Amino acid sequence: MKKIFAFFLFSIIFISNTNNSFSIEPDVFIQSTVNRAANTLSSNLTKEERVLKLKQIARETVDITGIGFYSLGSHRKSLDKDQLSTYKKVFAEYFLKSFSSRLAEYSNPEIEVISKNKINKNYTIVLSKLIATDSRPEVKIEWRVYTKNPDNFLIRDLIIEGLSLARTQKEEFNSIISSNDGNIEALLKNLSDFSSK
Amino acid sequence: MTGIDFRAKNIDSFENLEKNSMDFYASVRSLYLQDRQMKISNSNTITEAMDDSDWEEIETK
Repeated sequence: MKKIFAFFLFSIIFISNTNNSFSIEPDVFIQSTVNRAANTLSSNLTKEERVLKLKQIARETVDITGIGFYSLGSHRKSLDKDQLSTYKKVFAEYFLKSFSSRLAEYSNPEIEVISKNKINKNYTIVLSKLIATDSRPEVKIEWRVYTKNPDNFLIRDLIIEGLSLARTQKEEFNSIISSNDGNIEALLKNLSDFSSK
Repeated sequence: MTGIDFRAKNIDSFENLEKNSMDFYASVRSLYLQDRQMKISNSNTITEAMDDSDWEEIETK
């Protein structure tokens, strides 16, 4: 049951991926981005500078809007235009803050890409492992890479020992909406409050 | 005792989860259920255990 620990450790890596402005294989994309993330995390930058840099990388390489839509589940079909616009904005702020607040806890994880599994033309799962150290065991990490545009791969999910980051978030959001009688405004307020605290 | 031991070993992770969750209970429940689903299906990979259909509807770029 080290999965919860691993889940959060790699939440960090989820937002730490390199620019992918040229066509490469998904596994190479993940390995190079992980390396760049590790360099950032182990750099001499201040905590604030490090967070800013990682946020920028996340904006470039993680499909924040796609993850946001996925996290809404079936509720995404009931949003009107204004709500959708507000949601995209507050979700992006929430996403970046949520992960950046975890960054300070960790540094320089060593990840090795093992293989890739093309699911269909839109998705490839890249399998990697966190190298074990004296204080922690080896951990399996899978990356869901959105490959529809071969010149701009985007990360849509991170799965740590079988625990999906996106799925957990989706069920959290659904719980908030359901406990407020299906009112999407409750989720928007929660997201906004989280980002501003 | 097992639960207490697990909690003690993962106290930092739990605190982090609590701090960064809008609905802490829902997050823990989701993690537990995903883990249980993996064990029941005796699967080693999330790609076998996870329903991909919802992802296929998401088109952003």
